[in-house]
Amino acid sequence: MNRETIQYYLDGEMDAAERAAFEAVIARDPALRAEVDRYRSLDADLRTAYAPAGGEAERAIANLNIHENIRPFKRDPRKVVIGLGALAAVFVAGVSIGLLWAPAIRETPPETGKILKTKAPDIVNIGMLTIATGPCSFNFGKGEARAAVAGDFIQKGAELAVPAGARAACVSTDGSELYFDRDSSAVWDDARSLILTSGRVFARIAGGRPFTIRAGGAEMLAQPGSVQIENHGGAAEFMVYSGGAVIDGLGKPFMLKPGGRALAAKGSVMPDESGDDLLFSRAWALEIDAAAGGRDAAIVSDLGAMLDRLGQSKMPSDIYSKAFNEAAAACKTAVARFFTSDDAILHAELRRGAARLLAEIADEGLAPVLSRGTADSEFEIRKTCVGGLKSIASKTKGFDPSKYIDRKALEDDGGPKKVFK
Amino acid sequence: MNSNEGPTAALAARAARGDRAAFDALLALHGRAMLAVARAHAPTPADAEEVFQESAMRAWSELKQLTNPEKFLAWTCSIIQNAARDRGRRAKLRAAAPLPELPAPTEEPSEGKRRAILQAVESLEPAQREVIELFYFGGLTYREISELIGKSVPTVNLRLADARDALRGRLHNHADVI
Repeated sequence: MNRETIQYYLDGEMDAAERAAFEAVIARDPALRAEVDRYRSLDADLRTAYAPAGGEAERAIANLNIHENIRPFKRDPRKVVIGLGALAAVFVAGVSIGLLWAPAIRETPPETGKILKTKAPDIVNIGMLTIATGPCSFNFGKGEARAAVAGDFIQKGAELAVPAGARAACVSTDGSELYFDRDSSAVWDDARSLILTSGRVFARIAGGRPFTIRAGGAEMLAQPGSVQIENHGGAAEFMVYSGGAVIDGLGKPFMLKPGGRALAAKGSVMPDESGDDLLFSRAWALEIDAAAGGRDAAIVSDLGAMLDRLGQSKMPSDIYSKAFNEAAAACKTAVARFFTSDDAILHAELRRGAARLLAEIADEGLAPVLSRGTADSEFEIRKTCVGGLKSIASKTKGFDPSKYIDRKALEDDGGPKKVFK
Repeated sequence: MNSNEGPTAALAARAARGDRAAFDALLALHGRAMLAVARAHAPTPADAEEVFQESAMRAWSELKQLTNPEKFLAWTCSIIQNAARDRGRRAKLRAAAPLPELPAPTEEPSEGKRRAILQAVESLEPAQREVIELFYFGGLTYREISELIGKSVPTVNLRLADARDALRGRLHNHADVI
């Protein structure tokens, strides 16, 4: 019996028949009863803690002071016409006054020479930092770096540093958007040219001339679309999600199409056709999108729905079985790859999700269902799950798989036996 | 479908035409959930109340922009989340110059436990904190929470389970307080 079922019970989310059935199980199982009591105790503590706050809602509503003069905004078309008329009148009046004063102005001509000698301000804003989570900093080459906060203008030559764990989003004056994470550092040449000295940037390129991003001794000339560049200590990966890009380094430039990837080190560039990281990269792009307002919400939602369906299949109901089989057939391989790719498991939320999903597939009767819904045998599916958990355990710092798996059992090759706690 | 959806749509449509009584009725229906969302996203409970006030004002003045009156709660909650986020950003800036710490007032043991629990809730991940606030403060069902945050009922259940496990761990470390 899993904790989610206990919660459905304690939180009053079961109907009478389900409650009765669950209570019969509790009566036969002392360990389960103890677990239920532990959750019940926490639930009681939380209800007690929130009890005094209960009156806050009523008080806050009673204290609302909405001025009677404020009314829901409604644009009156007549007022728009009047407003336009008023603007036109002001314009006519302004022109008239200007004509009246024109002779006087002509009598005091501007000192053209002086104006020409006046140096134009050399600060040109070429973009703006729109989101900064964590201690990001800017260095404008005029002394110490200072904290970067959302709303900061970006000037030519500015260097943005985004430490590990932090994220930053920027928009260029041309409308291109740049998202940084992973201990990134970047220097702007102009609104459409950037040097990624370290870390990672996901860029959504707006229309116009090619956007140049340099890393690893090579440069990407990106067309409008979405690209990602990672710089690992001088070795760079260039990826194109949509649009296209020319990769130029030592040797002959070549074109990357959507889904294409190239590697560069010390200026040498080579296309990479394996595409192993593409799935993860796509997931990261989705995550960035979600953080930036979810413009690819449909894809995020599809992914969520897919996982939800996997979750719902655990429910003691036949309603979900058809949908689950369809989802499983369509996406099992993709989900497994998504969750077990090297980079994905570095992300805590995915790691938890991966472990949970893999454990559930193998242990809670999902492997047979998946097996029916796909061409894989139950053994193969369990083996995939064990492989995934091994991968998570071996490649993730600080990840303790003992919550999900029996370490001893993990040592074998994961046959059709119970290896998950 | 949420049992409040029918009256909500009718009330929101009336409120958008300037009917203040209808707006008050909407607040009576959804005020608790709105405040729960504010509490889940604002830095402190005091901030949450201000966010709630500010957002209710904004909702009233901009109701005309709500194209689907039945989505009143979701729309208002997005206003609340934005306002809470702004407040959080300002709070971070203010935190650059921390105020001197005052000695904590002496408390009843039960109050100490309550504070420990609420502090543990505040330290949860935002998604977990949100479902705890909506469930315990807002008094919403799984179905209502799922409609509000746009996730499935099993996901709500999962988040609550994760939140409770995290709370158990944290409160276990403060067993002396409990």
